[in-house]
Amino acid sequence: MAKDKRLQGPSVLTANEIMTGAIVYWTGDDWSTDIAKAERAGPDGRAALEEIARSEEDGNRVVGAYLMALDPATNLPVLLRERHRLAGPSIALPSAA
Amino acid sequence: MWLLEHEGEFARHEAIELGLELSGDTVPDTLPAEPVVTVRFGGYGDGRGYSVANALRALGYQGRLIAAGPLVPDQARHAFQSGFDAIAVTDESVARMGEAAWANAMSLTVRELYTPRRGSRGPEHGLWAARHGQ
Amino acid sequence: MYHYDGYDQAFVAARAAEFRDQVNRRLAGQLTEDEFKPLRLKNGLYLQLHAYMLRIAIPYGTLSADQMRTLGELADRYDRGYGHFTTRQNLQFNWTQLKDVPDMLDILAEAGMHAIQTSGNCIRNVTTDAYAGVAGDELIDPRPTCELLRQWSSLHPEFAFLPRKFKIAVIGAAEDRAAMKFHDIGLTAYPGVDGGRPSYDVWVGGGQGRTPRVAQLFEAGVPFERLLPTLDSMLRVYNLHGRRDNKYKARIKILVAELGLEEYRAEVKADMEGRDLSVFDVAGAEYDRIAAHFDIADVPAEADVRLEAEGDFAAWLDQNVTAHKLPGYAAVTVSFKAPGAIPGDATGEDMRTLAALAERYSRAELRVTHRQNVVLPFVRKADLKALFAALVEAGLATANIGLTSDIIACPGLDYCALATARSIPIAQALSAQISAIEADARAKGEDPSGPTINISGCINACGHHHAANIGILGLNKAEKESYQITLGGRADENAAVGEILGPGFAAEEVPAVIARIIATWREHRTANESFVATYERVGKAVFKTAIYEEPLHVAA
Ligand code: SF4
Repeated sequence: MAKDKRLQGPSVLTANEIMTGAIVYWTGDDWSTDIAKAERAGPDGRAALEEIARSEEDGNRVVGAYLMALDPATNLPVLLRERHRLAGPSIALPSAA
Repeated sequence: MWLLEHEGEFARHEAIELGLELSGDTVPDTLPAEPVVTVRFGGYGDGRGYSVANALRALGYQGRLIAAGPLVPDQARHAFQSGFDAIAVTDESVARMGEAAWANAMSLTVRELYTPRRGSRGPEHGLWAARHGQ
Repeated sequence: MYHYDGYDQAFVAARAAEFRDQVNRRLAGQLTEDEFKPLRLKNGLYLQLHAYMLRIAIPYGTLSADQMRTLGELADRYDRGYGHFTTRQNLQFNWTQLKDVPDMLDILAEAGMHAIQTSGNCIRNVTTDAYAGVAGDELIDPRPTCELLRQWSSLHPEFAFLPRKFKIAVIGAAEDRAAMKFHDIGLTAYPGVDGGRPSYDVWVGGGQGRTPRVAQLFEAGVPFERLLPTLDSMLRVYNLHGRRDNKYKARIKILVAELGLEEYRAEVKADMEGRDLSVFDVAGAEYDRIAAHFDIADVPAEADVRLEAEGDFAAWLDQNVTAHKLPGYAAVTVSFKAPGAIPGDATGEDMRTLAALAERYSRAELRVTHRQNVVLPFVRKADLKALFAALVEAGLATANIGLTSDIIACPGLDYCALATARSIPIAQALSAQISAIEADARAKGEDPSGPTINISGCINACGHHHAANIGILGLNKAEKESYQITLGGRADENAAVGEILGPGFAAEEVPAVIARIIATWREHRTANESFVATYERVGKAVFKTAIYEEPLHVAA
């Protein structure tokens, strides 16, 4: 069920930058830390993004590239884990206190 | 196919004498009579092969032990210090991981351990022994 | 405490250089991520939810003031100004960058530290009692054994690609303050005859995670000479026969359960038989050399002082000060569990403050506890008042060690890539609520103590929820956080795994649920009875009824 729902909405390609670990999104021709710049693929575009994920990983600039499904209604990631990954820690960091 | 010897020699060979081939997941019940035994690791993360070599040495195997399988240069130390004499490396792995990385595998690692394994072919003497003048 | 000699120094420096080379080969594409990952994990480097995380070993929780200061520097220079002390007595930095890690390791090596085997399928850093060497009830200091095992297991060639991670704990006192029976191998050390080297009870197959198990006695009274050979064979049998087909069945506890303890023992014995063990002969001399580092015979005797105390100072003395082996001394625990704080988190400034206080008041030595606090182990009783004042100044004088508000929590979904729910906000909410109740009890002259609470953000149980009187496990139910409660667990010498109370709760409901559990205990408690004693006497049903019968009325 959940899987089907994921496949219906748009997806973006995300990964971590290898040197810094920063979370990045594929814009269509490069990686950006800004999800607003991410290229969105519908169900038909997923295969092409998957291919980019593999070839970009082979380029050794990013690691752990995968497709993240968004909920069309909220524009937020479908999965709880990815909502937190996008938002960052939900707590005040000790150094900021 | 290439061979990395525990003394450091790294060279390509047209043919390699692999002798008796054993799977890296079990210690044989009887001591092999063959002068050369090759232990094939099932996977990079499968460390049973090291214990197989150690157990063969403990059983008294005196012949040549070769490690084969999907190993990386960083594991050369593990192999030699567990009792292997040499590692068989595929052409593909030399091309991708780098000839230098394989050739220097033992100089880029931590060679001296605190306590050596019985049957080790690694160059270590053991830091405990050194500390206590042995 | 133990100080590196030239051999140790060269060893960690060589490891740092090796890692730098591994990073370079990764960036050059000579190692794939699949190949690099186990290598970086064996050096404590994870890719977490938001960033790379570096876990630094604090072997058996002991560190010097200089080492603590180095950690503070790293926090400020390479991270966001703070770090997290873990339930395995380590420290992790949440925001490191791969490009900086080789430099961080060089700095650590200079300070006699490393990140060796703080992760990966290998022998992890050995843990012990945070009060080792100073506890009043101690039979023998377990740390010389821990250091011997650190050296033996570091970069072990044969046991570096085990089926799964492998954790060892050593204790030397009647009371178990290291959750020894929740380890793959647990050791209890006993003093040797006539001041000789120790002997050991060896326990095997404990662990938490998906299948929590209390360890079983493998062999009692193993003499020192046979300790390393026994561990060597125990590990080899596990390496060869532990399951590799299913990561959830790969720990030694499953092997021991599937083979049966008798059969496992027989396999180990067969492996040891006929082996030439002469490589271990030098271990005895090495043990003696290490033990000399931990000798406290030169600590000057102090007159025992009677302290007049009231108010906050009295509360702190009650809660955070522990009896010491030596007359005139006390061990002081500094709490990282202020109301609403993140359990185990300390800023670079906190670390520098603690380093300075350790230098001034504690023979420049500190400890990290598995409950995520820090100990100053050698405080003269005459200095307690001054130390307390300095801690108040630094905001580190929370007086709640061992109380319910001294909550263990793992990083959970705020940081951890494996998490199914958050842990930290739950801990923060509970600690604020419970601290207020404890303060109130104290004001009324009542005993503020209560059950322990541990929180994990997934079934891996880094937050030791199974071993808590009240355990909280965060799960993901249809992409919403849900919290499962266990009751009756304990980590001490009578170790037990908590029982699941019933269906889970939403995050907002947890404080009300915990309040009900504590109220139910208070209602049924006989004078001075501990939470587990009451729980074992009245049974789960009483608690279940109290929690589930009436709706909670919590706004979601
Ligand atoms: S228990 Fe789970 S969420 Fe918590 S630190 Fe461990 S793996 Fe991460």
